[in-house]
Amino acid sequence: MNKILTVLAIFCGSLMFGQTSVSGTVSDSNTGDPLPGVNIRVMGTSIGNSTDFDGNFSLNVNEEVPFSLEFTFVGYQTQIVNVDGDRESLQVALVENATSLDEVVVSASRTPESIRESPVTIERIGIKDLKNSTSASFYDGLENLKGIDLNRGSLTFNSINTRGFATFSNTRFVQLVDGMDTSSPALNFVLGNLVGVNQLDLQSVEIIPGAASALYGANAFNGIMFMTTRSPFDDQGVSAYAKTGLTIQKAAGDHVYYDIGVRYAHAFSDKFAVKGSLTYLKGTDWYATDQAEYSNDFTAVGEPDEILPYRSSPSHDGINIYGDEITLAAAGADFGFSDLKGFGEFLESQGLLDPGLSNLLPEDNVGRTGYVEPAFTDYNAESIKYDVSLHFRPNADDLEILLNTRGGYGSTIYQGTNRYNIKNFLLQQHKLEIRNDDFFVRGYLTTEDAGDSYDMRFTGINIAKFGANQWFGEYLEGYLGGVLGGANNEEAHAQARIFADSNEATTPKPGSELFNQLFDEITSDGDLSTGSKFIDKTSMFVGEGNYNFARLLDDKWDLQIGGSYRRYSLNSEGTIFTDYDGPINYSEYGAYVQAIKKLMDDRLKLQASIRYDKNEFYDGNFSPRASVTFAVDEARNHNLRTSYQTGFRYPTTQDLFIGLDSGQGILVGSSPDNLDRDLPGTDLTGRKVYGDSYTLSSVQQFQATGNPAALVPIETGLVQPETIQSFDLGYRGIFGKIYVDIAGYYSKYDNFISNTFVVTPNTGTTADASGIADLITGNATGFQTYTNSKADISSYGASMGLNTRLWKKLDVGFSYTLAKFDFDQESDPDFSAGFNTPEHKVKFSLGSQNIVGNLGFNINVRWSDEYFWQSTIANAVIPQRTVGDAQINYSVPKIKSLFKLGGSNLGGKEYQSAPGSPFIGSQFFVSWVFNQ
Amino acid sequence: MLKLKYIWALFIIIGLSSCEQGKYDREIEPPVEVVSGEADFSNMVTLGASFVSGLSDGTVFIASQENSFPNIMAQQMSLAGGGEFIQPLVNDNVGGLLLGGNVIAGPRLYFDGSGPVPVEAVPTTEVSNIITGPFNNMGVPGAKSFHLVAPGYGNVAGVALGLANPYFARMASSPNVTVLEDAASQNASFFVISEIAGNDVLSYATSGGTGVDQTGNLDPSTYGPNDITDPNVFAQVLNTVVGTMTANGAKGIIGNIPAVSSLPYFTTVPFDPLDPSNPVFGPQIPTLNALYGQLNAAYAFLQVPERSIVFSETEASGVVIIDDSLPNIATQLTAVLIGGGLDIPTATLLGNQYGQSRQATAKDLLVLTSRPILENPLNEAYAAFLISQGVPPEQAGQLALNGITYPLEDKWVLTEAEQLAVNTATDAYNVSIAAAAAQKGLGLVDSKGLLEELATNGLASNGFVLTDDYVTGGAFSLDGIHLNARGYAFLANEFLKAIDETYGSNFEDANALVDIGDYPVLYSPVLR
Repeated sequence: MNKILTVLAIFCGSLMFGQTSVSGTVSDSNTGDPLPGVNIRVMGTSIGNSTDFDGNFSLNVNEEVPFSLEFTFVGYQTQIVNVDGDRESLQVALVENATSLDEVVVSASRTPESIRESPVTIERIGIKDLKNSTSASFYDGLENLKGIDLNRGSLTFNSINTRGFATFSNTRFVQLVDGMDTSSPALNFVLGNLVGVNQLDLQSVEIIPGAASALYGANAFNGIMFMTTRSPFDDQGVSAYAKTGLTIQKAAGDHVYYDIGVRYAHAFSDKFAVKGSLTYLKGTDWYATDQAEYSNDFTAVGEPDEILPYRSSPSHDGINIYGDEITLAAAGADFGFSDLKGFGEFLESQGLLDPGLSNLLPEDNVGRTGYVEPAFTDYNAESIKYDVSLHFRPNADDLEILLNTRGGYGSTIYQGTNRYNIKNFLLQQHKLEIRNDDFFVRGYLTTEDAGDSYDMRFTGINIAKFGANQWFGEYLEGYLGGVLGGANNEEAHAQARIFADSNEATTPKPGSELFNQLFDEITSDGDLSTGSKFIDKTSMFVGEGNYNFARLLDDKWDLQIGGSYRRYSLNSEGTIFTDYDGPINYSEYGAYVQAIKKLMDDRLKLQASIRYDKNEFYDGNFSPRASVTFAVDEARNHNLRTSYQTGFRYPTTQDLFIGLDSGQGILVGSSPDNLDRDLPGTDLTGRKVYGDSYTLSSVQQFQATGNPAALVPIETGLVQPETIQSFDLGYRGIFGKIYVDIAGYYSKYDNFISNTFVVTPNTGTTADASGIADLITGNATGFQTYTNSKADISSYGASMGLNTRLWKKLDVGFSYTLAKFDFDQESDPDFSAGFNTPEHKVKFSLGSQNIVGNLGFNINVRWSDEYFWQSTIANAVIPQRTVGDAQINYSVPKIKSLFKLGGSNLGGKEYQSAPGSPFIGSQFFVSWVFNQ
Repeated sequence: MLKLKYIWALFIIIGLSSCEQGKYDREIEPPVEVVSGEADFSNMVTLGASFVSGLSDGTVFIASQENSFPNIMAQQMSLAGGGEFIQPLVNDNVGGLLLGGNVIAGPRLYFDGSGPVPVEAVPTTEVSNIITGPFNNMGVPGAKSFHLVAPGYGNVAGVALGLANPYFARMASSPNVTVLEDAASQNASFFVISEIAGNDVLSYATSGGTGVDQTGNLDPSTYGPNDITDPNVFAQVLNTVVGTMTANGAKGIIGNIPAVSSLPYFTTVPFDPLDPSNPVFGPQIPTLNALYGQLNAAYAFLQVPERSIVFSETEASGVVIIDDSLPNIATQLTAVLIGGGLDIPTATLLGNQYGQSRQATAKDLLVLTSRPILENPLNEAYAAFLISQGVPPEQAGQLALNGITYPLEDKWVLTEAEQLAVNTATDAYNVSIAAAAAQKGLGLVDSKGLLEELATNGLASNGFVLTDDYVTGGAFSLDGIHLNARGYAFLANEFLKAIDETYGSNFEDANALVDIGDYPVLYSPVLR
């Protein structure tokens, strides 16, 4: 099929022009090995192709002879060959770069520059690195870059963390695919590579740790990642991969997974090209089955939770057990009792229990037994990604119009405050873009549908509500039976639980008809007081443009201006946002200008930029950046860089418009427009909540002491954008054969977005005693509000990377990263900083593209220090770990194939990224990649 | 060379920050070490009677011995240098005793859902199988104070004759040794003495005051089993015991004696169980009052109207009891009744039946064991007697109803006067105990005060509130006199706290008291 198309294309072309055909082989000048993937371009045009596995290429060119061919390949010096007629078996030998300093990056300045000139720290992987990756997916392999952490919450949904303050929902990190922000519009963070790039279509990945708002606007706060796909003009033909293997985890057992993908690209002419790609992955996710309770009852904010082993108390609330949140204290609140003894006394007063028996009951709260997480999910990890684009170059030059649609569909597990089974979600992006080397204008629309997703904890809670009162009654009966039969307290509790749980009418077993019926009802109900479904059809439109005046200025200056517009349309049908009366729309925009000037024979590069952003709820915000890069020596082997950066992020869509009754409190977002909207579960408005409430801690103190003086009325400030200022200092250079990259930074944060907890009198006011009266009569409601912390937070760190090649074949890499943060807990005692990043990390890699013949291998070993994870689900210390991955590969040029055998976490020691998340086991895979 | 400086600076940063190890380890307060203070727990001997032995549910069995308060204390003391604590464990969890293969003490009680019932099993602990000590726990159920110094109290041959104690007989090191000698020969470093005078009043009380208050009689060899021991006799024994135990400088602690009114054995059965709403009793009230009307007239005539018997039709009435502190007026009463027109046999019969009776008041304590005879009031023996005297069977049955027509015998009731005798003796004993403790600098546990608090407000610990309610109070065993395991655990904590106070140990501060919830309220019916 492809051949026919090619022939057709040639035929079409030859009708119009005379054609020159060129073919040949590209090899390494040093070793003589063929080089696959070398880009060949006819200079002055966009026509080109790349070499296959054998280093062979062929090209039919309509240009008149003579013309020049440009051979470019990452890590090699570019070579230009003049062609004056048809050529067969053209032999090109590329000379390897002395240094990696010649690698070209784009994102640091929005314009191509060699990495030595980059004003900021930047990490890059290209096509060659994909081949060497020891991970089952290139995205997971990003963890081997220095300064990059990967928080692993699922087999398919892993979250990148640079410079800390991240959870699985890293709202401070931006991920762009060909310029499109791939974050979920409702969640405001990226679902790993579930909505991303097919490895066959990946041109490069660049990651800038640190703030980048000056060029990239809001949310480019602690880091930004760019994934660029291959152009169908440059990389044509069919490529495919098939991968299968095993995931091995103690909790889940061994499961087969497979992952297949295909890409097809074709340039019909030098004016029109198409591209399509598709991947399908299916596997079994890691199980999360930690039954321990993480209790902060007796720990201060900023301390790890106390970890209580399973069933350490009758009201045990295991982190991966759902439904055990339903306790007697909650059930008895309306009847004035809070423990088993109180329940007994209540039953006695109702004549339902023989007098006196309640005295044998303990003052213990009792919780339902609940179900461990596997009761609520089949751990189906499934991912479909597709991408189709049409590319039109009306003048056959650099001006290109492209239409692109891409999407991700699948199922995974996400851990936020609770754990969510993201099931059959669909996120799509549609883009129209016009660009040339000087400018781009693009508009894209992101739509999402959460599909059949649901909150697993609330599924458990709402199942446990079923028959709860009867269950507690039977528990009491069982307890008394135990005591009267000779049991001590602990034994009586155990007997009571067995007795109460044995009634399948109140405690359906997972898989039973009743369980399935309740499960289906609850997971299709979006009201959290009765259901757990996650309804979300939010969309986001983005329009942006950029113009680079460099060419107009004869390249004496580089001057760029750009702007962007973003519009959200929140649509959760009233289940997450206060959008009960239809979608909520709001928008923000920004504009920036950047100037770059090179001096001293281009050894000194000065850069300054500033960006202005405005959101309809906030005053405008300026984000400046200034940087200097300086090549110390004429050979440019030693390069220093320093920069001052700023970043900011807007409150997320949820911070602004959430209106959700979690059962324990009502979450109310703090955008000015949200303050007068109806809230679920209360007649109060956000305006009252933010303006006329008591702090929760003071109400708790009041309840304990009865002293009204303890009450602290609070006016919660409406949430404002969070900002960061960052100073970076770096060095890149070569010492002999060792490539060195060192960076250090200091960042200061202001207005960290945080939550406060308040109690609002329903009818009275905190201004007088009527509020106190409401508290005494229980006529008050608890809320979680969104505001900014007064906390003084700063972070600093450093990284050092050393890379070299030994014996011309063996690549050795070592990196060390330091990350620390400074925070005075006393400046905001209730604020949980959540740095969530190891202080020390060491990474090591050893590999060769072709150690013997066509055999290559790579080994990665990563050590990371213990770190303290703070999040709404739990706070715990994650122990230090060493993880090793490895692969060997063998290429068979005859069939254009690469075979790889690899495994990650080969030591088999399972590790957690965070409390509540699964233990990550080992993953083994074999893969075959075919590249025409 | 500028660049190199930066590199070195970076290494310095790395070096500095890697010094902090385990920075996220939460500062968990190290467990406080348990210390014994001035006391030395390496060899503890405990001396006393049934409480010390761990008696529960009417007898001693392995589980109850393991939950004896001295044993609970010993387990906690092992955290502070305490040594092994050996108890004279019986053979089974049935309880009771055999002597020569014959059951001389019945099995333990269990709770069948409504009340105490003996387990259906035969005791296997043979008294004549002497076990070899020494035993740290020298608690001897049933022993009175003077028994501790009585030679031959451990002689198997004397058990059948009532001269020796079967519990001591099976553990005594020789037939003629005294309890005190066996305790003293262990050369204890620490000792516990508890309720050694308990049985000196308790058997009197539990028998409904059928014995004699021997106050003033200094010769215990003349005492009957249910008599009250003279306080001076007790004081002398106590001083001997304490003097002997402290002879080598041992430290120790003494518990005093609770008041009987704190025990459910005396507080569970109400004095006024006769409720007009009772479908059996209620309809009979007019008939009964008519019957008693004649008797009450006779009492009035004899100037003892306080002996009148009237059953209220609106509220519960007290039972009719024999009060042996009242003058027996059977003869006069018979005469008056005859004068009132009754035939001589009937008048004689009634005169004898009601010559020393009255209606119970709130000041009378009915013993726990009276409950079955009140629930099934027909006293068949007395009915048979009446029939033998020529009373028609129907009328005999009516006149033989326990507490209604047939005054409850003395053994079922501890009258106010009897209580006074008990309390007077108890208080006197406790004065001696306090004095002995003070004199020797020993710790003192106010068991009396504790059980009074238990009976009035309840005692809270570990999420439970213990009261003196039978079964549901959670502190007393089914015999209504002795504690259950949870009650003993509470008592053990109280002893440990008193030791803390006296000797500077730190069981309470080091969180080394026991959780009373870990101890059951009742023992399983199937435990063997």
